[in-house]
Amino acid sequence: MRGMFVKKVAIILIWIGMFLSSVYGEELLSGREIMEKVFNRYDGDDAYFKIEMVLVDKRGNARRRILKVYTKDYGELMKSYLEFLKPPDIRGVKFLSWENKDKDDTQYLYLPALGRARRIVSSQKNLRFVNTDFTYEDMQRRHPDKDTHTLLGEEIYKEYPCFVVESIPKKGTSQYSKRISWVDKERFLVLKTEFYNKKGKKCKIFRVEKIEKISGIWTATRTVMEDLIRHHKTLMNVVEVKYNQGVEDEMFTLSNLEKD
Amino acid sequence: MRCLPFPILRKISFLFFVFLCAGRVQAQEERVSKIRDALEAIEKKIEWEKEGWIKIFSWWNEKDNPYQEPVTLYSQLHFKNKIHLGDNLNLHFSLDAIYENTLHTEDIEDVDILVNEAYLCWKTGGGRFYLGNQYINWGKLDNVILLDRINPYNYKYFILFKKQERKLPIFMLRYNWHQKNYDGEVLLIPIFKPSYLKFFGSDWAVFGHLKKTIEGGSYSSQVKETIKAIEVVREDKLDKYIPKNFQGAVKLRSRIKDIDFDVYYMYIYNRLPTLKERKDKSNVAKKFLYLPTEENLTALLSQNLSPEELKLVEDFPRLHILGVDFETVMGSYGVRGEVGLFLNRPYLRRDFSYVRKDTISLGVGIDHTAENNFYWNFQFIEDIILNYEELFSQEEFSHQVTLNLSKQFFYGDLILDLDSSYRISYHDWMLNPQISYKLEKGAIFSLGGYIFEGGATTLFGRYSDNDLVYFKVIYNF
Repeated sequence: MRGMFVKKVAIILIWIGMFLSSVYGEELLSGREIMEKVFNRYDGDDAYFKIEMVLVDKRGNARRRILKVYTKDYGELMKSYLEFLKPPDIRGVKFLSWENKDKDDTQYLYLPALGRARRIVSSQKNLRFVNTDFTYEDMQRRHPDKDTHTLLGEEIYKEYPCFVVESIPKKGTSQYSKRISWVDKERFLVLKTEFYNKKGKKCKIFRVEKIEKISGIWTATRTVMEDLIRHHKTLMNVVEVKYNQGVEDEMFTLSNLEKD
Repeated sequence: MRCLPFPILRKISFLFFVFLCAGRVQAQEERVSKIRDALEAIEKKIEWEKEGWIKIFSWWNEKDNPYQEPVTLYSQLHFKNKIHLGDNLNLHFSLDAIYENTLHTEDIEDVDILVNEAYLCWKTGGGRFYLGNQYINWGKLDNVILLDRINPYNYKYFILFKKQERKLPIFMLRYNWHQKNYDGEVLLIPIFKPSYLKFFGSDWAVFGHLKKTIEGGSYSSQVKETIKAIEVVREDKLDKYIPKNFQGAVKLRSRIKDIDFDVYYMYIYNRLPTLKERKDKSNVAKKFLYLPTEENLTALLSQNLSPEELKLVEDFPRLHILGVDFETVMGSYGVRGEVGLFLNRPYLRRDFSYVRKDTISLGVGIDHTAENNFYWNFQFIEDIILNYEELFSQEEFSHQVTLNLSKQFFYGDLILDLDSSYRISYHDWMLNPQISYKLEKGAIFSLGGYIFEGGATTLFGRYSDNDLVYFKVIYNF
């Protein structure tokens, strides 16, 4: 009898603990802590993605591109490699990005016609990446230290409960005046971001349309980046994903970028 | 990347075996079946990547002399392939079908089918071996040849094609490797292959239509015979696979702070020839070719040279080249440069005798893209000849600048581009404006022109009669 009583009390206490943590535990997270969790979320030691990219202009004309992306974690820092496979007019264009501690990423763009890679300079980071709706800045992960984060509240995005976090860039670190992100409370995956330009006008929206658990890692497999000013969209469908395949370091070298 | 069923290979192999075995069908059936199975097994393992482009390039120029071609058509089909033979072994090859023509019906030529690149790539341990005909891209400057000297270049149409398009593949063994802090590349080139350069008989030849002009002009038979007998010949030994012709080069690449750099050593042949006379007779033939005046013609005739003596020999000296290049960013500007020390570079003296001099060449480039997609790229190039003495058409310090301006519209579909080069020391220049439009299906249409200006003995001035307008279509598939 006494054992039964102890068990019941223990179960009640666990339930109370879970309830309290669900009510108060999340609220204890600050905007910065949420964005740190997003930044530090485990997304594999290395990854390979094959992506179908569709560019849609304001008249609804669509252009389809296929690209492959490799990423690899080097402690806190990450390196990524991207190569366009289709269509023929863009095939062979490659992009390499190395994260740096406390400074902007080092980025290279290889154009086959030029026969060599070219460094992307900071002013270029405001420009669209090979005519998509992503700028070179959007192509890099943003360290939480670069922004001041404020938790604005909670909202449901699609069926997912989300934190809504406003991130205001520290001076001179971004082309945007602020971003507002909807972060999945359970997975710490950004499901939507609104981008505001320097005039304070909402200029772009990034939306995740579909997430899937692949090799135990939650992955955004369908996304849209929409330019609200140019009325242009970039849709990305992940058609193949492989995590932790042991991608070689050589993949992320300048020499590899310039290889045929 | 996709697995292809190799239908053509299968059909050819099948027909071949059917033909081979026609008389002994019964006896061979089993063997044919085995071979077919083996081929199918290979096909399943092989992956084939195919791509290519079609280029149609036509240009028009005003006829300044009766031998000039007013219209030229250049069309090219480029078919590039990569076959994955195994996990670590690939075969790369590309084929070109080139058809060139002018309005002269007698000049109709066949289509040339050429093997362009053809090499095996074998990945092993931390490195890769490449064996065969290949392209190498070294250096950091755009459309300027300073350290990018491993491959020869095709100057058949001077600079109407950009640097990468002018490059000719060369046979070599190449090995590159990656280490934590540096990358390395070493090349061994067993044969000599010079750049393609015409001396006589075309709008873009070094001496243009000089021979035809004399032949068709009102000159004496002695003049015509003498000029007709002038020839440019190559020493046979250069074309042979002999140890003496071996060339080699090594490149090490690393990074210090935010600066990427490469260090080079090359022991290669100079790929552009300098003309030597077989017998020293005051270099009168060369003098007339470079400066075709009445006075120089009289001097040439007065020497009574035999046909053998009128033969000029192309000389391609060995060069030792030590070089460094770098690239970095400074604020919102990309900055890059190259510097090379060239030992033994060939030159002509003022009296047209031949001499070799050590030279330092350096170039610095800076580029910037503004927010409105306006791009500019400025480069400064300097050549310094060491132990200088008076040379023909070559100063001790030569300065050159290049400027490229470009602006994109409609998500990159429309591009306005202006390429220019000005050789400050010789006051000759080149302008190449172009407008391009990219269609959704991948075809790119370009309309542009070239303007060349300068003195008769300068690089661009030599072609000042060849100002032209062109139309180009490139379709990638």
